[in-house]
Amino acid sequence: MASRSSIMRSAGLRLLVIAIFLAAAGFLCATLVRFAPGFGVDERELDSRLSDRSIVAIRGAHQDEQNVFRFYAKYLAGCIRGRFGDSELFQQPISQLIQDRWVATVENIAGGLALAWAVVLLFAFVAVTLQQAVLDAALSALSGALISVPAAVVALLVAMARKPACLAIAITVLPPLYRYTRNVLGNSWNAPWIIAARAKGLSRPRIIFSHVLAVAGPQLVALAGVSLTMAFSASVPIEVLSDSPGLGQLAWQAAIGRDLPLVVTITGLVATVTLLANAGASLANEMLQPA
Amino acid sequence: MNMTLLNTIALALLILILVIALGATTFAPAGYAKQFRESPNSPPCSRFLLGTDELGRDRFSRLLFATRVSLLLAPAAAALSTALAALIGTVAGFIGGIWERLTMAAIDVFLSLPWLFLLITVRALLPLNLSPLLSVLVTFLLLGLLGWAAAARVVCAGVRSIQASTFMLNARAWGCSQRRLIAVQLIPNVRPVLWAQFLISIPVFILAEANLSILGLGLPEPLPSLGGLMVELESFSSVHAQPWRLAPLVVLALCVSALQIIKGANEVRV
Repeated sequence: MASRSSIMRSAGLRLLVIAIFLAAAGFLCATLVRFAPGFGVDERELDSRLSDRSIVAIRGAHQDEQNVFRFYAKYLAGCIRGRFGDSELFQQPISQLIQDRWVATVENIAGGLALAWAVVLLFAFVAVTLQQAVLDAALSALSGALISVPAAVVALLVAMARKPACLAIAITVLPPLYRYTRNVLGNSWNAPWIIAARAKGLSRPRIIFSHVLAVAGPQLVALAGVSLTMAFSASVPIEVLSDSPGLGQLAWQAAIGRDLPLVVTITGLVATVTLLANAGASLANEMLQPA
Repeated sequence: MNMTLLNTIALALLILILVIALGATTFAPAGYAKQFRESPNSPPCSRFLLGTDELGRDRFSRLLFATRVSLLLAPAAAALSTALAALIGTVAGFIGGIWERLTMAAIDVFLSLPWLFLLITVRALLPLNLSPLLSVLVTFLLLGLLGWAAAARVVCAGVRSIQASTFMLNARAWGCSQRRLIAVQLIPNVRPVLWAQFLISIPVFILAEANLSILGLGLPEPLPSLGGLMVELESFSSVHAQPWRLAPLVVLALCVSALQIIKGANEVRV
């Protein structure tokens, strides 16, 4: 197992890289938002009933947003205080919109991932331990067929069958997860010491829990972090097409309505969550690695 | 079934689809935007092999043009992302040390990002008055620019293992210059890895474009794409009554499955 100091160093480096990346990505997004067509133009300026002074006052309200550095500093300061500004599309504070929607996304993703992992582990263990070529080929063909269908079509089919959105997330995440898990478990199952344990007549559950998972565990933990990223990506089309009011649907509504502050904030927030989850999974992987 | 036979069938199927799609202007009975206003929502018949959509456009013709768009531009995006991966991965693997660690950290971060959120963000930032052709190019350019990370990690690992090989050690001992080492020893040996990464990226980009188009953030009308044609599947009730609406999904699944099989066979060979 890795030493405490090396794990702390690794954690520090990861957090530093994430912080630098988020700051750079945030600045890039702020720049893109600042220079996007229509930025700073208030539709009230077109209202002929307003006087010149009112128009000047409306323009003045956007004056401090003209400089991209000032705009970014103001935006970042607001984010740190938990204020992400207001949505132009919904005319509501962005933090309120996120608060209203995150529960649905968490439910969809948690349900989908739990279901996907349960199915994946079951089928991967069955394929690896039974070592039946036909069964293995059938499962691989099934995962190959599922991987060829876009997440949006899976969402449509699930919605057509009136099943919950988490099922669509599970079906979308399942094929790549199955392939990796099957490979990882297959490599462990065929390791020399496990072949020796099998030859000695150890029971299958004992081999799986005491030997196979000990070797494959760290890689599966790292894969769990990646599966969260996959689930978040799949949540966009799935929530949109199954009309599930989550962050994915909100991001899509913001993109279609060109509500740039909202779409950038949601993307930043989701990216932060997935980056931290993956950093955590990678650290757990390092901690679980045999010395 | 024998892997080689399966690979041959997949390759033949893909070539067939590609040839038909490339010859869309010859094989298609009508242009993709041509409207037959007297027969909207027509069922399949000898005139319209897959019927017409609600605007009276021939579905079969649109399917051929859509396949051409997806099958030409996804490899172009894959080539771009593989080129980026080759550059970043080779430089990091060749120089090594802190640069390699930094590049790997950046790749880890990039791989942890939910790409669809990034894509819809960047799509939302684009001007509304982009021409359809420019919009197609921008969509696939974005896919290419965002898809390099996984391939770069594999290329970097490949370069590192080539760096540690005996033939590289020999070449260095013989006094080969850095430029010659890269041109004669490194690049030819890293080529199979790049080819495999290129093949892996194509189906990913086809599916990504399909997802974006179904969400209305892909190619603008009237230009068809496989994802764009699948928007018709949104009216659930009509799919049961008109199963020919599933044709774009069948073509997409065939293309992606064929590419997966070819990719799998190639990985085995690499």
